[in-house]
Amino acid sequence: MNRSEAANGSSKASSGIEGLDSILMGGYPARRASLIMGEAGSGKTTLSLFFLVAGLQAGESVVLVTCSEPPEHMIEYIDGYGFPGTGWAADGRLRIVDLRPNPTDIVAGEYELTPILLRVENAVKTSEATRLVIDMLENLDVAFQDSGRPRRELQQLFSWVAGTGLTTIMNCGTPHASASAGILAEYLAEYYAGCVIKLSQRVENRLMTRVLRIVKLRGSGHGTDEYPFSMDAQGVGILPISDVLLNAEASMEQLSTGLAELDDMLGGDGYYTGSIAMVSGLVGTGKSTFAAQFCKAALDAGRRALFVSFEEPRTEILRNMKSVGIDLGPHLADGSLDMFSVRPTEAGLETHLLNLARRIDDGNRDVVVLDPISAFIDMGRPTEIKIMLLRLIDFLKLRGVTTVMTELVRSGVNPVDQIAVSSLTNIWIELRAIESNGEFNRLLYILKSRGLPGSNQVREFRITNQGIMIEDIYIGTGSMVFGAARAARQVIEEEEIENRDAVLQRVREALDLEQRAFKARQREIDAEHAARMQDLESEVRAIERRIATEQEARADIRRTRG
Amino acid sequence: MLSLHVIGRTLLAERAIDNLGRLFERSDVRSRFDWEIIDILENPAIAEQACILATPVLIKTTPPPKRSIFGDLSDTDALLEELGIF
Repeated sequence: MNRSEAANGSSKASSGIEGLDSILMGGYPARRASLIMGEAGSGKTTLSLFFLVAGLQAGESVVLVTCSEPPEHMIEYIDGYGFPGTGWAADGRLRIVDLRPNPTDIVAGEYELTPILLRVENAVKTSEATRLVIDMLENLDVAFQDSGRPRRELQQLFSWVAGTGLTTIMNCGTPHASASAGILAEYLAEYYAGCVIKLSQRVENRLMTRVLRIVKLRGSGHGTDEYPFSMDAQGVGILPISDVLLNAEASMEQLSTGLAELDDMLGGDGYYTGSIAMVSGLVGTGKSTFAAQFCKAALDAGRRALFVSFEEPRTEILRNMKSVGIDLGPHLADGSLDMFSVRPTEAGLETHLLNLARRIDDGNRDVVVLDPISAFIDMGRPTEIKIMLLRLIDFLKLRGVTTVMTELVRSGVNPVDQIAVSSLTNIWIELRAIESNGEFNRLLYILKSRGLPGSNQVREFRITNQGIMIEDIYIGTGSMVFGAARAARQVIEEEEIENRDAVLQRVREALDLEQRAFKARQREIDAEHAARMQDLESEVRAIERRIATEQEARADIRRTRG
Repeated sequence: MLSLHVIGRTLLAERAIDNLGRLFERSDVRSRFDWEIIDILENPAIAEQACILATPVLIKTTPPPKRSIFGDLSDTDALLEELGIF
């Protein structure tokens, strides 16, 4: 009986792999048998070795029954993953029962498999084991009938195992491998295994992707998706999409973006710690510089950062950033900064994910720069890439890592989120270079700032030899202007402001002059008018007198003739 | 040396012992091999040391190479061929 697990009543036994425990809601069913099926090389043996290691590390004894690999190889594998396999084997806590058939063995008559039962039972009892692994039983030809069905004694073995309350893993190939493997897997899955895990692998873009799926997990919930995983010298890595996130506490702490003006635009002190910011832009818009500026500010604030480049060699980034006044060298030297370059094509998505996760955990990093994530676009199907990034973002958020990722936008001036992960980020900044009046001007837009006030402003910035400089916002009378045109416009306006009083004085004088001139002209006209009136009136009187004189003369003549 | 390993005195064990006895009635076998019977129940560790998968099993240790012949030894032809006796 499993002492530790039985004692604390736990219904799960750790698989020794963090991500798998999370998918299995804690681990394999304790005191039950689980079945791991998969093709040769799909990782069955590795998974079961980690299960044994988890027990050994908890102070338990374990028994490994091998039907294909020599015991010394099994111990070497455990040693190779950095555990004291040789030591555990020597002190008897790791017992290996070697059931490998010898190809020269022959059969001459009827036989029984009693020794197998005897040996397994003996190993379990003398070591007081709590965990048992039976690896590749289908290779044990003598244990199967010609039809491929397991012999009666194997059923006895399984019943015995079930009765002992040992937490057991049995590994088995797929029906493609052999008839006996297919029949055994079906038999175990149907009658004995409380948990069935299927491993498979496929090659895409010349890179291998391994996938794990829980086919059955009795009496417990479990993830039902296919989970990509990776295997390398350090073991098995699985990063399931976790729902723990929903309960993760949102940080109220903020971390400067490295630019006071950008901090202001984001409503104060910068990015919330644990948030994900994306900086998008066309080639040459300054994405990496923005990321490096943030990285440097975080390092200066005592954070531990990881800068990953998917495009440029480390030395080039260091040199380029130093030339714009962002010197990351000292931080790299004192270990507060870890920096590496890796081409997306160097490994499968899963391996990239695992390496990043390890590097972040091993180095205790709380700030990460990924430059640019768009480099993954050609690495597989868009959904696969999106899922990988989603899981990466989950991982980063879970660890509270503040992250800046850059994205190279391929064409067009509209923000194009080619990997469609912007919805998963907290902040989305777009950088643009606008050509006008014969020069390039760099502009910064905040497209999204979840949980922060944000700013709808468009700001111009320059990359100087002292880093990025964000210009004050220009609110002019004309249309928006940038760069030299903007500077020219500003000078003109400044001159105008200085001359304002003089202009006012001038206009006032003109007004006064106008008024006086008008009045003067008015007097002139009045005088002219009066003079003309007088002339006309005297002319009228003269004519009237003449007429009167003539009428008197005619009247005198009539009287004289009369 | 031919060592017949059995687990207790089961029907198959008895048959194998009988068949082994009949084999040693042959002078060519007698002249080349000694024999012994080992009951694993008396010393279970032997099964582990000798990597025994099934019983009865006749293990030839000398002359080399070492060979294991499973079963009640009723298949005399297979047995003789394996022992190099024709």
